[in-house]
Amino acid sequence: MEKRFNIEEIMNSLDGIQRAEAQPFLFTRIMGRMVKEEKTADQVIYRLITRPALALAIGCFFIGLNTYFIVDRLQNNNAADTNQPLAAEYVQHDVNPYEPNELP
Amino acid sequence: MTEQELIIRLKEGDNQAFKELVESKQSLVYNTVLGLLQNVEDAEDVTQDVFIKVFESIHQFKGESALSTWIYRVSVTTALEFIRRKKRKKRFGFLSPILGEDNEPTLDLPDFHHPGVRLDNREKATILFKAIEKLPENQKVAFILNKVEGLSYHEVAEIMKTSLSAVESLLHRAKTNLKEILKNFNNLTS
Repeated sequence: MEKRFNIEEIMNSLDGIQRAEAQPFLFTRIMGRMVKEEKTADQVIYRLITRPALALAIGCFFIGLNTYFIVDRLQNNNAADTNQPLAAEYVQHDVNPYEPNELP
Repeated sequence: MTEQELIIRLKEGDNQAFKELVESKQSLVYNTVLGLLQNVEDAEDVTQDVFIKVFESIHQFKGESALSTWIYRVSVTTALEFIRRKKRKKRFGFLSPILGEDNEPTLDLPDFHHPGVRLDNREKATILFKAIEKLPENQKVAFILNKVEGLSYHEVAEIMKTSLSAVESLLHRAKTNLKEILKNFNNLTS
């Protein structure tokens, strides 16, 4: 059973407290952990990339992206082709106002 | 090596400089973190986290404060993040069998005996640490930095990025709250 202490005594119980020291070889353990975490991160990426579902999804994504750009380019080319005659029809030649108009 | 040289070498990723930093600041980090977490194993882990964070984010250190002030800040932030994560785990503990999370112990703290407390004060300090645990976060940080790390009000204000008067007020409220909590403890034990 806990003893009953005076509140002021409890409040002053940290007077003269010394700093707690970490376990020895902290630096070695930190370096070990950094190497381990690096390895773990590499393993996570490797595991993700080599997962069949993910590889398939990435493949599909790139195929989809390529298809989109090819279709888009083809559509743009078609639009350019249909605009060509119209542009030619409205093309204006430079006319010099100081030159006498040649009559036919 | 001066502090400035140490920082430059750390920014270059020098392992020897990192070793020197760890050796010179390990007790500062460990003691702060231990005071906040009140658990030796967790404090060991979080101390390692702090140094890894310091090494990885040293380029963010602009030199506006002393290096130790910045390290104190990283230590406090990392320890508080750890506590919040544990509390969250405890709150959603009922989901862990479904989510398959690891069975780490949650935040039910056993009696904590700080190794730096004088032998005749050990029992009283354990009660005080139990009460500190119930303080709001910023009061707890101010109290630990001042009483356990032995920092001045001015240093605490710099670490907490606040004014001197705010720290005085925080510590005053912390002491009032602690007395109130201890009164309740005493009522319970009597």
